[in-house]
Amino acid sequence: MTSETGFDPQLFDRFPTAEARPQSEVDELERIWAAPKGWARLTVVNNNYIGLWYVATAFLFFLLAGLLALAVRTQLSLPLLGVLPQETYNQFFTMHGTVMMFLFAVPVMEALGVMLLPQMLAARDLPFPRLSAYAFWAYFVGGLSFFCSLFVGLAPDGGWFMYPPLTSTTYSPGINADFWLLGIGFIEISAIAGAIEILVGILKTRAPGMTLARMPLFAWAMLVFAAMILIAFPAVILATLLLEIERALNWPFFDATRGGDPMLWQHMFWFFGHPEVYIIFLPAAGLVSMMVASLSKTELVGYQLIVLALLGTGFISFGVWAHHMFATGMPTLSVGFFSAASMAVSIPAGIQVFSWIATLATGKPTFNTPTLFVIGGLVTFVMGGLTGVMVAMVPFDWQVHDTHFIVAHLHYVLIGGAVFPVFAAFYYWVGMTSSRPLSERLGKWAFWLMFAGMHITFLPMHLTGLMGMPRRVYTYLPGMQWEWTNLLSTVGAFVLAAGVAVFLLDLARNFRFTAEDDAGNTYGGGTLEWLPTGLYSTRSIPVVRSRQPLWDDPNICKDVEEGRYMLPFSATGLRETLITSPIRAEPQYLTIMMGPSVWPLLAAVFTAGFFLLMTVQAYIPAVICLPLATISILRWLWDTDRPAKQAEVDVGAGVILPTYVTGPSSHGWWAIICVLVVCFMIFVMAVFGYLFVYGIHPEYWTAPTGQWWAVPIVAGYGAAALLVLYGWRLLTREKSTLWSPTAAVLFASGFILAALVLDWFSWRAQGIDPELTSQGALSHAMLALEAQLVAIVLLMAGYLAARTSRGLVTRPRNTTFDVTCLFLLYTAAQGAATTLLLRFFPGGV
Amino acid sequence: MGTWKLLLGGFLAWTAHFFGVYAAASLFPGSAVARWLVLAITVAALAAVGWLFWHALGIVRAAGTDDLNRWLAWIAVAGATMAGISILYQSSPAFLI
Amino acid sequence: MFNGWPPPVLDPAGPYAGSISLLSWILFAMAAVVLLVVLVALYLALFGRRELQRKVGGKTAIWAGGVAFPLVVLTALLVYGLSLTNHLSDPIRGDEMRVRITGEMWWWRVAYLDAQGQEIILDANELHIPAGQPVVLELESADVIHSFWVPRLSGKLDMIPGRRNLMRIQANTPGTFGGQCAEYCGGPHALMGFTVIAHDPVQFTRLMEARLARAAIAVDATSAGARLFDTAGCSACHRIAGTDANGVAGPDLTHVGSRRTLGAGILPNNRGTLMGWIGNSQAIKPNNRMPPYTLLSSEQLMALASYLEAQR
Repeated sequence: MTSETGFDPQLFDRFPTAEARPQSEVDELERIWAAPKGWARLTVVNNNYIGLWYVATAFLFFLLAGLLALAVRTQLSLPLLGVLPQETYNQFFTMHGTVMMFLFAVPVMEALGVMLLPQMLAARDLPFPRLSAYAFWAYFVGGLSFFCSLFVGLAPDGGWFMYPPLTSTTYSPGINADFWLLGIGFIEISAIAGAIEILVGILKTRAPGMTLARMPLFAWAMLVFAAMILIAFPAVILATLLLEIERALNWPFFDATRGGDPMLWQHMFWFFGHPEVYIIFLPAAGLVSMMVASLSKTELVGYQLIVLALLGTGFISFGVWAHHMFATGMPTLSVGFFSAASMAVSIPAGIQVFSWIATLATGKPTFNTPTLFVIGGLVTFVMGGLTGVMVAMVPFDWQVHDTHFIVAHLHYVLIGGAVFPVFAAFYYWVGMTSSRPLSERLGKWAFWLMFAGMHITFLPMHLTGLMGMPRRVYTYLPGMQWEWTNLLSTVGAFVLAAGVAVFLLDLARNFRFTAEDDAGNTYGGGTLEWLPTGLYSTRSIPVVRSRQPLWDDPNICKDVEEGRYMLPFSATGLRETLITSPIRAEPQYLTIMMGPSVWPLLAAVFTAGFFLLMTVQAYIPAVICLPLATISILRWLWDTDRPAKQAEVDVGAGVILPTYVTGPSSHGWWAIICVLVVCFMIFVMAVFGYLFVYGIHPEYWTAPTGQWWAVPIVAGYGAAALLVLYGWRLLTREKSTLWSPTAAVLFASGFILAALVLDWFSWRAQGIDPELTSQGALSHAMLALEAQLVAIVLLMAGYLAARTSRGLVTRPRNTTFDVTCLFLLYTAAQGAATTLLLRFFPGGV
Repeated sequence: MGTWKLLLGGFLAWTAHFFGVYAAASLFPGSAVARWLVLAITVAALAAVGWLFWHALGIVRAAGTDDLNRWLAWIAVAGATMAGISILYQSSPAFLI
Repeated sequence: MFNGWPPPVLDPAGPYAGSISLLSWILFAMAAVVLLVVLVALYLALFGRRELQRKVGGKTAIWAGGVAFPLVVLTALLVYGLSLTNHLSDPIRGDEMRVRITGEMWWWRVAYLDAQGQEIILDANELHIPAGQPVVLELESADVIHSFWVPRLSGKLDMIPGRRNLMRIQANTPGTFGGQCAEYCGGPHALMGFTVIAHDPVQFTRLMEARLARAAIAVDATSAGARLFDTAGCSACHRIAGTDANGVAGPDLTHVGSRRTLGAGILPNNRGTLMGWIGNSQAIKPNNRMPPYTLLSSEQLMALASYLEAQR
């Protein structure tokens, strides 16, 4: 046997252990993991609660956006109706798209991840429980306030894609657009927080022995999902930031009259926007892959092929963004590349569809509610995929682009590929969190109404599009023959809504929340989430020997419950879980996890407050919120990164693990690398924007002078990097004084700040005005991005100094110290790259 | 060779190829230079994918490889194939348009 | 002007739309075949006999159905689609007839160009072309992104501020073809139509000559309508050749009397609709850029409308 970490895999054979374990250990676990009562319940961080609240909030947004859709369909049922006035209609369709994509589709997948993954991987919780709580509360507060803009008529009305210049101050002077830019930009940050949590959780907290080849497919899908979010979302974050700056400070990024280019927005938006579709589809596909096997009572056929398909989709979906832009007049050759990638990306989808069919054929599915939703979703998704192949053909897209044909296509893909699977998942997994399962009878009604309603709505809509009806029109004229298909679509929408209403009735009658006495494994699944659990998840963490441990080992539930596997107790008296290696899931160490806290909640409220108050131009309260949010985050972090009293513990059967590990194998290290990937992607997109706009309008650009300024600036950043490396070495030397490593970091921060200040003022002296040309706007934006990082560097350095003064920086290694150093190194590198780019391009040496 | 490089190598080659040909077409729009560059990038990417294919196939066939390594190498083989097909797709516009 | 049946995408009137229509039918056929294959496989998986189920349930079926079959279909489509894209994007030659169309919030500025690229005839919301020959359109935007689309003649192409996109259209025979703005441009985007009228080439030449000649003729400025056009403020935004009215913010009205439609393709053009439009266009097309003139009496509206009707 090969090992990844030096762990001897033969130790696994000691489990399940033979001796009986005392009940007092369970009482201890219950005490440690108990949820606060009353109002303090809001401070819980446990995934059983946060996950469910998260799912419920996402579902609430699904209902709200669905109501908007009903209003939209009513307005379009006949020509020249006045149900919704033009302004209201434009806000409604914008909000329908925005809320469905940003507040339902992505969050519901993250929510299901937070709810299901820890149990599926037999972890006690996700590795950063307070981060999940923060992500949830930020989303909850931010999302609801954003939605409320509708009630005061201030909702955005520029379409969910927000193309400038329609959304610039010239054509959208109100604060409606700012609600979108600040509200959505902020919710993206919450999505990224959730993605980091999920990615690290999947790679580092799996049950021992759960190798990559034994991972539940939902975990595989969520792994790809989280990685895709880290790559794709920075593009839209940067785009919203630039557009908001253009609106607030009048810097022309997208304004063609001053050398900007509106196409820059489209490239950035769709570089996020198309992967987004797969970001939604992949987790749903993962859910389907798991359900289809359980519901057919057989192993999934082609598990390995599906893993391949997930990975392939994750990559190739980044090569299709411009297929939303075939009608913009891009060069023909580039159009061809995107057409080809759009074709290639359907092969992984084909693999998954035929794997599911093969699994249904191999097993014996009964036609219960989740099975119906799975099969209905499959058929619907295939139809949407086929129209997707059609619109990947450039000339055909020139005709149907921006017509109702596309509206039909995208709803087939998203409802078939994500909504039906999510409803199947609601029925299938509800037993984990409710003391009663949902009703099969009502469920079937819900399915058939939703399925029929979906097809009555969207099948005729293809024809409406071919008949020439564009998208995003608030009405149409009589005599165009569009009445019949539109009326049919409206009827269908109400049938679909009736199906959702039946589901709500089912929830009201049967859903009863519980964390302990759940209804359990109604559909006979074989994966770990069906082990008996409490708030602490499983009593002991099993050694995984196959993909469906519950099917392959009939005793596993009993053994886990009786504590015959790893960590049947709390070894340190704190919340803890096993950290395992990413490939073979070999136990590496025990991590201490944070318990309930009000700080993530406060941090989320103040962050949301900052963004929303900025939107409504209440600048003073907004500026007050920012330090409050920062303090809350630092306060929550203050409790973390503290080694337990015991340096090593026995997690059962003589397996000894350390309780504090730093460096590249620690989960903190992985998380900061994820953050740096996000920062790097933002920088890459900014560089792309810089080069792209120069390529379109070089006449607005001039070659900078005084290029020698680059020498002291780069030297400053270089000195900072060297100091950081030196500080790192000092920390490992026990002989160095308490303060010397931190002092090196503080000096490094000073150098970084000095380099930035030098860069900014010498660049200002160039006279390239940010309000006059796109070069001015983009160069100043890149300096502003660096300034943001430097501000965080200063904050981190101050925090490190505070921890040093309290003696919290452990030796020879310390996670807080590592994280700070990595961030400083990255900031120095980006700063140097920025300086060189601005000064030497365009203009040459 | 690292597990992740093996697992993702084919698709990483695809990524390099995609952004390479996109950059080539953007830097030299409508010129023959773009087509030659696409050809060169395609040959290089296919060579990388081909090498990965044989390397991973060797692991799949090697006696004594443990289950997980063989499993991962199989995905690398299939991934290289999928990436190779996609790379061919990706280069076709340069010859058809 | 815009007729939804038969579906204009599938009812081409020229070669550019024609090849896309053929492609559409091929794609429908492809989609139908693939859907049928999937549904048959699914049916066999759920209800088929045991040995058929075993076939559908094997890895071979995944390779055949999920990899090999799509690969063949997709490769064929890709080759066909790219060749067609190439064919439809033939480089524009210098000697083709050119018209500049500028998208405005929420109407279309039309300028016929001479061989040197000078604007020689100005019009709005309507394009006259000779049948049987390609016409090159220079698509531009004055404000936000719009998209030019006349489905029976060609696919759509966006009008983007700061850029100029070129497209060809062609109608095989004389006729009238409706179009609409396809890119969401805010406010009354829904009510931004367009009309293309293809003429017999001889008639077309005659029409263009007449319009060129019209530009040189002075209009009688003494009629009640002409004076009102000046005093009520119309001339601040609209131009009529041969008069003092030379506003450029709104559509050129030199030939407004001959247009098929009013308000960018939303009303038939006659004296009654003209009066209604001038009196309160906001009730007809909310949020369009023309202010309502509710203070004008019906006599005054009548005078204005008959003056405009005469501008042909």
